[in-house]
Amino acid sequence: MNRRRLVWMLVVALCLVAAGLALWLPRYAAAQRVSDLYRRYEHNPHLTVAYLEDFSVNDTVAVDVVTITAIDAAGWDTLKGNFNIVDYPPELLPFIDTMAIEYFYAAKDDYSRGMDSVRLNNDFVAVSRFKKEVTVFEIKEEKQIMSILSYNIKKQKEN
Amino acid sequence: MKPIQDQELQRLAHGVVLGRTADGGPVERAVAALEADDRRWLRRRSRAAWRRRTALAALLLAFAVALPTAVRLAAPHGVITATGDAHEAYLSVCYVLENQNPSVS
Repeated sequence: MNRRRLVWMLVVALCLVAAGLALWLPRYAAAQRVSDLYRRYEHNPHLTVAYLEDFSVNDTVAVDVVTITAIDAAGWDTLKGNFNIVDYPPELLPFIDTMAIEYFYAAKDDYSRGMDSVRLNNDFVAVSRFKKEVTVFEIKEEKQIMSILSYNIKKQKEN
Repeated sequence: MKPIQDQELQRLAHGVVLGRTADGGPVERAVAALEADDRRWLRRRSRAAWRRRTALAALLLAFAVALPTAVRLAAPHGVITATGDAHEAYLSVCYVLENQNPSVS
């Protein structure tokens, strides 16, 4: 085979490989960047899980967020156990806004354990009983906590 | 030098040297011209090969630089990885941030 033709075939093959890599690598890179919490629930058939990298709270602060949603009762039971979500007593249910979202701090290493004494060892957790969903804001810096809280307070004032 | 018949010279030169031998000069001069042509041709071929190699190296270098850049651009920060509906997950976080009820927490 003509050597020049061989070189051109090599170049074309290289272009095709590069195009394939360019399409595949971002997905691979994104899949590698997810947090441990996402990996923990990724293969659970009773849950859907999402990892949002650098979710912008405001212009300067971003936070990584994991949402875990129960697909069925088994999934919700898993979340209740792992995040220490206690059912309300039935007699209180008429007085509780079921659409409300509950917030708490929980230790990063075990979300059922409650709050750790070191502030940055905790993540900010939001629970929606109505949607059977847990949202974990993975806190790495103090300013992330302040931004989330100040955003919430601002929204409360607006409402 | 062994005398070379014009026809044989023409065959050797593949027509390149025909214009040079048209003046009827000595065969040695024609052969020298042919050799000089050969050297020039070799130099040109060498330069062409060098250019091809350089172009190929530049292409490879461009790939080496462009590919990671393309990956970075294609997977910027803020990417959502989800086993379910990524868009719904995003909206869900927005909803969570907008709807805090401190009295319940």
